[in-house]
Amino acid sequence: MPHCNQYQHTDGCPHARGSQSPSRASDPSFRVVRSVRVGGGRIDVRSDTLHDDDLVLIHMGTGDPSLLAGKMLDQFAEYRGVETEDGLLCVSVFGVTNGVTRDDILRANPQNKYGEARYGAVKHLARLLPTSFIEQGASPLSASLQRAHFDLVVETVDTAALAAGTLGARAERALLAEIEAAVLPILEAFKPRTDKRGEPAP
Amino acid sequence: MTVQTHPVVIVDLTRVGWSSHFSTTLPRSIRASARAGDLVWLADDDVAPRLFRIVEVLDDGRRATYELVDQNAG
Repeated sequence: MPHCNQYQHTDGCPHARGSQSPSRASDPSFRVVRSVRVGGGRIDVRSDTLHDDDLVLIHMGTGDPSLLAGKMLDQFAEYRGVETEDGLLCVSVFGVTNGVTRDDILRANPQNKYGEARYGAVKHLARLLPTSFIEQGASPLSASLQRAHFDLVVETVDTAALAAGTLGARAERALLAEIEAAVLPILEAFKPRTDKRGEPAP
Repeated sequence: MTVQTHPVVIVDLTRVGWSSHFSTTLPRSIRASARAGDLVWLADDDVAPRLFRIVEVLDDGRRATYELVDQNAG
């Protein structure tokens, strides 16, 4: 009986079936370099990297920069200890890599719309940090993608006040506007957006 | 204690999928008022909201565990 888990697929496992977009084989440098506990699970930081021609998929169904900025702010503190004692402004993306195909990503995620870009087109806009969310209770499909999960990190915004917890309402609004401005060119890089049937999506 | 039902909030389902029990961020909009036992509609961008119960509030209120209340809700 073939065995697979969130980090390793084997021939014959359901996640290794053919798809319209093959994935790159595992990066030989693939390993977990550190783990940080969050809530009921942990974030593993990996060592693998993407190549310029690797596909990266982002969901953000509406492609709305204000929604994305709010989500980044919500999640900021969860990344304490992942790289520094502050948090990170980031959003989840998936790379077509490490045995995970484009079809795997689309099948496992509930969102209907997505955008895709080559890593080479986004690496100058934001850093991609290889992270795996190991969460008890996560759906098996979602868990199977974690070896291809990356956090797209926005580093052009000053988050000192946010990290210090001294952000008032007005400063928070200003920070959200600043994050929105920073994510606009990133979302542009993932256009045109499509739905899962390949039809153009607004 | 009264059970509150919070309005729709956006979470990042990319990380956890749509399983019946998971933990993820407690959005800022309800952080101050959310308590274990409360009901909340969770959505993610173009994913229709579903009704969840907050099982536990974690990490000084930044995170929570949620369980799906009604598979057909939303």
